[in-house]
Amino acid sequence: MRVNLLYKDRNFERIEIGEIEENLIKDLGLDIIVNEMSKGDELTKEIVIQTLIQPLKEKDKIVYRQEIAKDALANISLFKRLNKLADDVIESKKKSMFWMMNKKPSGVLFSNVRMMEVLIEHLLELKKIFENPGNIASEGLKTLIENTRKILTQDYIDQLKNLLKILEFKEIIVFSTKLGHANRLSDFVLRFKEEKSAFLKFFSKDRGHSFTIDERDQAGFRALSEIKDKALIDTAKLVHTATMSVLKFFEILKEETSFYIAINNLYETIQNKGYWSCFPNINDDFARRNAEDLYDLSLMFVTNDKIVPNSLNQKGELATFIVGANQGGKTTFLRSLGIAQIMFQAGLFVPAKSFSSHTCSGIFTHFKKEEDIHLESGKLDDELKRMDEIVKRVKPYSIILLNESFASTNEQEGSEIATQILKAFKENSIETFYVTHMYTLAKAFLNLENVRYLVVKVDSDGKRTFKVEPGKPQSTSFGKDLFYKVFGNTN
Amino acid sequence: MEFQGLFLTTGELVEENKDTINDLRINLIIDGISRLSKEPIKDLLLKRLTKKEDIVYRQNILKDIQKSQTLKALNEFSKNLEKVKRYIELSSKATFEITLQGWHLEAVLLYIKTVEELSNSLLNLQIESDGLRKFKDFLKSYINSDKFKILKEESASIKKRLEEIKAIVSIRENKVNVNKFSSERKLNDDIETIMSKLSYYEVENLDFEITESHILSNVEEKILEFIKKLNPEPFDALNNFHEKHGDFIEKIIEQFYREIQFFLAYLEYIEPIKQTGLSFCFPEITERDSEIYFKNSFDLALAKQLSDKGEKTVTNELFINKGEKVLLVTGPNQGGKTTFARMFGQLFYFAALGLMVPGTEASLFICDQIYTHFEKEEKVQNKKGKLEDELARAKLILDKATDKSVIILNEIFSATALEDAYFLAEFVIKKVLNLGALVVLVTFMHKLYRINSSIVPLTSNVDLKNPSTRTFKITRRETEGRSFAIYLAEKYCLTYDLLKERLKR
Repeated sequence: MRVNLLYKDRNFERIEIGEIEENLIKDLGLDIIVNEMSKGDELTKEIVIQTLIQPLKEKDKIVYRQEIAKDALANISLFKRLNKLADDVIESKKKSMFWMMNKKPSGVLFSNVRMMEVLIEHLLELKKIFENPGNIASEGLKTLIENTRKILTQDYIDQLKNLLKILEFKEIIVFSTKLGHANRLSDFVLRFKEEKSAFLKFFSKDRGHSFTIDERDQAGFRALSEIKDKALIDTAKLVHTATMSVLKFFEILKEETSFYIAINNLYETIQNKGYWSCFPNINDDFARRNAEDLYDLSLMFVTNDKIVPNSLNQKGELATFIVGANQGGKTTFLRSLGIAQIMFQAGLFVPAKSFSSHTCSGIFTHFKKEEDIHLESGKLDDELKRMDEIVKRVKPYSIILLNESFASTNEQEGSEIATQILKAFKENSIETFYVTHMYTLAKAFLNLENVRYLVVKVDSDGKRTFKVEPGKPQSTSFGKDLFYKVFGNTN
Repeated sequence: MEFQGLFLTTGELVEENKDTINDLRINLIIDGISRLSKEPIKDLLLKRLTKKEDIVYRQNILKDIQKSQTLKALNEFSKNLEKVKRYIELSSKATFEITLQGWHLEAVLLYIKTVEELSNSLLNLQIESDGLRKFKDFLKSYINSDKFKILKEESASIKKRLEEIKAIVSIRENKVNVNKFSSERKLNDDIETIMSKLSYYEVENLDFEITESHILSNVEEKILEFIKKLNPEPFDALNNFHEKHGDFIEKIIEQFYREIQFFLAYLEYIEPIKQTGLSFCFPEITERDSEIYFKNSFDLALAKQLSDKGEKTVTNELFINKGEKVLLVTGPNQGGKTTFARMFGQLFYFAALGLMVPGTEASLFICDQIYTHFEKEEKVQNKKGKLEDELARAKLILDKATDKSVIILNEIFSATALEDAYFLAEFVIKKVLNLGALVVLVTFMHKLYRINSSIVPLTSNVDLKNPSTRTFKITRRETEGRSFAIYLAEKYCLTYDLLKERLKR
């Protein structure tokens, strides 16, 4: 019995959240989105974060999750019932915390038998929920329901209960043993008591040798239970494995249903705020992307202003430079693209009216650190170090989003470093989106293949529209405007 | 000729003075090696050889041993014989007869296996050194001796008979019954069939920590007594065997076990260092007046320390031409210079122990003594007292050193005014030039090389390829200037060329 609601053929696993992942989460504002999705539940938050930083790379895996997500949006009550049941199991485990206190085989066996008796009741409850699941279309849920029904037959439950009774060892315990290393008793194997007829017993010459431990001989009793413990080791392990496995089933059920409940939460919030979303289509060709009315989802949670959506039509360009006026929406655009790609590769819907993309083998961000208070030289060193970490992990067909990278040194030197790095990436089929105001850098790629420029559109009167459109880099930025805006006319 | 041992001593043995051992961190290295030995070897590591013949004898043995197959066989042998000895000890401490005889039997069985395995492995291996070849011959004849054969046959047969015994124990409250096994069915087969239907998830396997003392409980002893009663013959045989073969370890095997520790411990000590990508080599032993060189060498104590963290230390190479006598090491004050000086002394020391030295190639002479003069750490003394002390130590060295000595002077006279320091250093340099000793002088006074043309000026450079290891390479070359940003990018291997190379994999 396996849950398998996140992956068809394996468990969801946690990876270590390193600096790269932390940057990704912070740079794209994923933490804001995840907080809204999990409504303060720490476990849910962790699961969602983990799924976001472990992007799926294969089409069938994405479809598998998308289907279950669609089931969840249509039939959330089933998911909530399963989640509640799993919660109950975890509660009963906590209540019987005494059950692992005893570290001896006999103690472990005893408490596992008890725990298993409780778990049988929960399994029967699960069976009941699956008798009327409601409308279900996804392969993942269908398989789970079918497997549960197949295993938990009445006949099997009866067998299990009988076995648990024997394992209480109320009357006698019988085991075989051999001489091991240095003539120590070893190879203990628990046996069924041999039922000899009274007739045979009477004539049996060989009744062996017996001894009795005196009621007051405490050391003797301790030694006796030590020997019993040795005989019970394998049995205790077997029962323990089964108990833990069932517990794990419910723990995973809890985690994986939480994920889909979180998706439903997000869906409802987006609708309430009057925005839109869609399940994306999957392209086979690298660096081909189509997005209609894409918006920055994390921004949606922090602003009351209406967000200006953008569209994108990418036809194989490996290096894209986003240039133009400061505070014109370059970073917002870059972020909306990153968020959509991440959500898409987690099997979620995306914040756009339509979205189609290929899968990337890795998604990375390299953003300028605003709060960096180091000296200039330390900053550049830090930026290079972060890039070095990315390079250690990057593979062909990855995407790297860069935001004002290498702006911590002068334009001449920053451009030189960035140009060298971007060229190497491009030649190794690594896709880059680079927000920059370094004209020297943008200019260096003007005549190369598979390069394009997106420019922030400014009205004729200099007002920002927050729209990005294909264009050419210009040598002046709009920093001067801002200067005057902040300092006023210094004349 | 018979096996004479793994050490040859035709010349006299020399001990370095304590300052030298401490300054060069040889004390740390020796402690580290000793800890890996199963027998005491510190004394061997403190007395170095002075004759080429003796050094080569050890080098040859080590050349054999360090071949991976041979090393594996010898390590296995050493580990197992240690175990045999522990079993013997356990037997001698036991009071319950079945246990006492049980440990003795285990000791014999493991001994037989250990000796046979070593003999078999050595048989198929190319052995070139005199010492090991003779031992191999001895082993061959020992294994074919009647004494060994009887020991082997008897122990195996008794073990087999004991293993065949099988009993059934039933416990009902405080009553224990022991009987011969008949055909009782296993309980776990049923459990497994039923439980496996629920065990779909990999869970952490439960491991019971059963801490067993070697002393048996009275209950276990009673059960064993009953098992003995039910099966008397094999236990009688065991009893006879124990009486007949009390002391069974051959003397030469014992000696070999003791002596091999010196080599095994050193190889074990350097293995993690090799894992970080560094090399060791057998130095060529030459005369004082020939060229001296080493390639890819390093400070052994530092390399050991870094290898614990999986890090690699920076290596250095140097070619000293005939007639070059004083190496003047200058450069930034960050540790690379002292490390270089230590490495230099260590190379001469470990070469004279007949061991491999750090590096891919080396050619060194046997020096009569290694003298060191390192700035003392303690700062309690006043400046004058300190300088006086330093001068006294310098004089001591200059009085005793010969043209066959190696002298390492690290930041001496830094306690005094620059003008004095120059004067004193110049005096010392002229003096050692006269002596003809080989000298490493670490100093901030880079102009000193102008004194004499036979002085080799060396400087430390920032190492670009290994930004994580904050050490410096010592070279004869000058450093070159570069634009800061590209210099940094290069440090992280992020320039176009370097990055292309990295992305290839």
